[in-house]
Amino acid sequence: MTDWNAMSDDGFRAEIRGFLRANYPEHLRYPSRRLRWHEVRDWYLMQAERGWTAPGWPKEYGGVGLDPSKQLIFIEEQERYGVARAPDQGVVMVGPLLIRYGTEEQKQHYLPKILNWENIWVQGYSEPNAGSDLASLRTEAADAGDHWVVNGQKTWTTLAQDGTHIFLLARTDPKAERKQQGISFLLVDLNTPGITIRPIRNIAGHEEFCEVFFDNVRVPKNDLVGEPNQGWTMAKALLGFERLFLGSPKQSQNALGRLDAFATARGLHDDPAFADQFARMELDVADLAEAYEAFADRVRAGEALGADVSWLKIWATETFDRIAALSVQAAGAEGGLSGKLPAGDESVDLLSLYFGALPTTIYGGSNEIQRNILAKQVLRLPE
Amino acid sequence: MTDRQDERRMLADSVAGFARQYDGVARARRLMDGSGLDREAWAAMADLGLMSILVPEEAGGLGLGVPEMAVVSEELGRSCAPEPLAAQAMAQAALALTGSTAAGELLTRTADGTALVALAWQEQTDHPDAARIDCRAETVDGEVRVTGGKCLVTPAQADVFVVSAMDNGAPALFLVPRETAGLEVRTRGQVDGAESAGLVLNQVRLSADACLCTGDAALEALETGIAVGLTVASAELLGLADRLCTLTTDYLATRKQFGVPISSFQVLRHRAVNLFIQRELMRAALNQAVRAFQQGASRDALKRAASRAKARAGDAAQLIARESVQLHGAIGFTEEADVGVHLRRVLVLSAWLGNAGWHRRRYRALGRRAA
Repeated sequence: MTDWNAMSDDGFRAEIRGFLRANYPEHLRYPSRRLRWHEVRDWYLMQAERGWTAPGWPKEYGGVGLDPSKQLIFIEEQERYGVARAPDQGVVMVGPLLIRYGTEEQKQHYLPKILNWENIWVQGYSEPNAGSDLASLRTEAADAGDHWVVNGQKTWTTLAQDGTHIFLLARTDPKAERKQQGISFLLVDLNTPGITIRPIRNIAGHEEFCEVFFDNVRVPKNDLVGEPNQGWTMAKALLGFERLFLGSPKQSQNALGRLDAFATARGLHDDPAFADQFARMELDVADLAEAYEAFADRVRAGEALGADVSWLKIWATETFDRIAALSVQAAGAEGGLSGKLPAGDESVDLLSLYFGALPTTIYGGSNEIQRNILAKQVLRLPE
Repeated sequence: MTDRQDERRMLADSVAGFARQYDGVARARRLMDGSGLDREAWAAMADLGLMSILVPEEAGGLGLGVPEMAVVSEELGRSCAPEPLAAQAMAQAALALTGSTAAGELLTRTADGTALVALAWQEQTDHPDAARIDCRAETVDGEVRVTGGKCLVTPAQADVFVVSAMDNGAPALFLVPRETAGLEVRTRGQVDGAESAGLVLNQVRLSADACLCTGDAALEALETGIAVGLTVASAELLGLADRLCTLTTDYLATRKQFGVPISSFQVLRHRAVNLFIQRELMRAALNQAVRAFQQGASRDALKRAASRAKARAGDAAQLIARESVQLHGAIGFTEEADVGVHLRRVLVLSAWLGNAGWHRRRYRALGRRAA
């Protein structure tokens, strides 16, 4: 078996790059929307065959056991090649949660089904009245002896219609002193009676996220993870170096590349006003990439990321947003046309950039929340 | 941590020690009152070795590089030191690159602070491109005569100017002592109280050995020297911006209105965070320029990296300075508040050697050339 961690970083990068080029389907590169499971299934099942569903998990649990540096390269190369994202909550959230806090029984039952995609996990965190203020969540799990009874509603659950299971933060002690206390982590089969999934159509016209309703849903007692009422603490502990990826420059680099292709074909670079705006974007992206690398160096050195990584998320997403807005301006009077616009021998879909960028400043902790975090934890401004 | 990183940290510490002993803001205020260069502080800086960094060892210097100079400049910026160290560093870098004996002798005198030197290369205020040279040098009876004009030269009080001129169709660099007959130095004030010089050279007569180098070597010394100047100025702007961020967050945390510290207002917290983000971007842009020098990048790559650093530093420092005044409220607009002293330095440095807009254009143009 190959010892990937023993390879040089450059050698490993070349290996991943070569593999993607030889095997990844061309028509699935740089999708303009989040793809559904049936569209990406073949690719991810093939990865599962090779044992590459969970590069970051330890080998003993069926992962590849890559060190942080190699994981970073793996993710960067996928981003660079425009690989469509998997419904990866099982790999990213549930697996690490169970490996750290789960019982032996839970691990044996759930981890293999994450690795072979038999179970597709979706996230049940946000609620209609608990978004940025997540700790105010009200979905309740009542103790009914040998099982929990769940009532409530989750929302913004990405592709719940493709999921088989949901992991939930639910209130198990409504009388707890602080709202962060009294929350537990539950694993729930989406086929359980009483669950209703309703897709939400977004601005771009896609059904990317859903509402999930729970009406007297029975959940077995042993599907609670860790200790009861410790869900909040566990959810926070799961925030590892994945936060770095919210600040990845790849979306902005890709958007800038598309805008450049369009602008070149349309002769826009000869317009000094556009040229200056474009150069601004170019520098914004270049400096973002430089800052990202500095954070990535810390991850590679095995350091934990601090609260300061929030600024990277802000800058990455707001830069993406500015490029998207400039793209629509560049389209001029055609800015309202849907689909691809002709640009020389090619055609470029600028509006998908625009709709792609809009939610990035909201998800993953809205940029306003990120600013709150920085003000409090980095600038230490008195409240 | 490598030895060189340790060395840089020690360098930063010793500059910070200097700044504690010699109050930069106080010197900057005196400069605005027309006191001119503070010779005592300048000599102390020379004693610390700050003017020896870019001077080669064979000329009696420390033979260090842009990374060390940037560390010093950032730390001096943080103290709001008004001395023209960045301008002199640019001239030193260009002199060292010429490799000539005369340059070496002059460098030795700059290292101990006895001579001030300025690079005189710019000819049009709106076009900071070193390759556009209209000054003419001609050799008559074994003597060089230089004619033309230069603008925005700092330090204006330089003892020697390094002047670019076209000699038989090729760029060349000449040493022109301040007292040379035919050289007229016209100064005008900068907003920080220092002076900027315009040079009028009318048949300035120089001996043949005043020529340091010619041809592409001269242009390389000039352009790389300017790239050093841009990078060092970007580091100084980072220091100034960092200090402004600190002044502003301290003020927000202590100023009370409506019975609470004004830092409790979310709109002000978020604006303070925006300044923090800009400062981090300045550091990212500076780091890549410093790395380009460390890695011995090509001349065009250095120019592009320096333009990128200066474009970011200029815009971000200006934003931070303006926002700092606003977040201080009315007191921020007074002469008494320190923010204004920093703002004046920011205005000077962000315009010097080309503002952000100009460097964005150059960054883009150099990128297209590479592609």
